[in-house]
Amino acid sequence: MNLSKPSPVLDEKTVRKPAASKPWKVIVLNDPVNLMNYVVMVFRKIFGFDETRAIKHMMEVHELGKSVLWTGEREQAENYVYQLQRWKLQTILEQDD
Amino acid sequence: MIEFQLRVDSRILRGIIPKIEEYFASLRDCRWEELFLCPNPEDQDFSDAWKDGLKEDSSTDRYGLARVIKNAKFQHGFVQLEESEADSVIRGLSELRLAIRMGPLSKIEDRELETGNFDLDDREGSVRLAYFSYLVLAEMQEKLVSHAS
Repeated sequence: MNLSKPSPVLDEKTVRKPAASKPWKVIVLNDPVNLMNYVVMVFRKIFGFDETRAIKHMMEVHELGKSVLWTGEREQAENYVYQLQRWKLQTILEQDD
Repeated sequence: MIEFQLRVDSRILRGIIPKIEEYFASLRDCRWEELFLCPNPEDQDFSDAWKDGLKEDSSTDRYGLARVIKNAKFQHGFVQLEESEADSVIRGLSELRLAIRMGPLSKIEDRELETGNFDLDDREGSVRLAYFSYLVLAEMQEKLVSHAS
C-alpha cells in the first residue's frame, strides 16, 4: 500500500523543510478488553521489542491512554498500523509536530 | 499440538458455551471499520483495500477459533489446537471479547470492566452470562499467549 506521491525538486537554500517530510507516529490507544500479556506479546511480535521495552509501552497505553510505538516514514508507519489493527489494537497514525 | 483444560465449573461452562457460539455467530455483523480506522480514508482505493484486508484476516482468524469452539471436547472445557493456528485463535479471541464488550457488556464502564469492580448481582442474566463468557475467553487467551510467548 504505497501512498507516497512524487515530490517536486526543491532548492534547499530557499525552501523550508516541507511538512510532508515530517515523520509519522504510530500510536496505540488504550482499550479495556485486551489483556496486558496479550498487548506485550503483540508489541514484541510486530516491533521485535525486548520484554522490558514492550512492557514499558504497554504500561504507557494502560496508564496514559496511548503510547507512541514507532516514528518514521509514512509507508512503514501504515504497515505497522495495519498489523496492529489486525491484532485488534486500536491504532492511529499522526504526523509529528 | 496445544492442549489444555480450562478451570471452569462444568455447570457454568454448559451455560455459557451456547452463548459463546451465539456471540461468535454475531461477529459477521460487526463493523470494525468504525473502530479500526484506515489512516488514509480520502483515498477510496486505499481505504477499500485496507478494510478488505482486515476483513479477510479476521475471517481466517474466526475459522481457526471456530475449529476450537466447535470441537466436541470444548464442551468439557478442553482446548485443543494446532501450534500453527495459535496466532489466529489468539486474535480471534480478542475479536470475540471485543464484540461481547461492545454488545451485551456495553453498559459496563471501561474502568469497571478493567478492574472487575462492579456488582454482578445487580446486572441482568444476559449480562452475567456475557461476563462469564468474557472471563472464560480471557483465560483461554491468557493460556495461549503464555504458550506463544
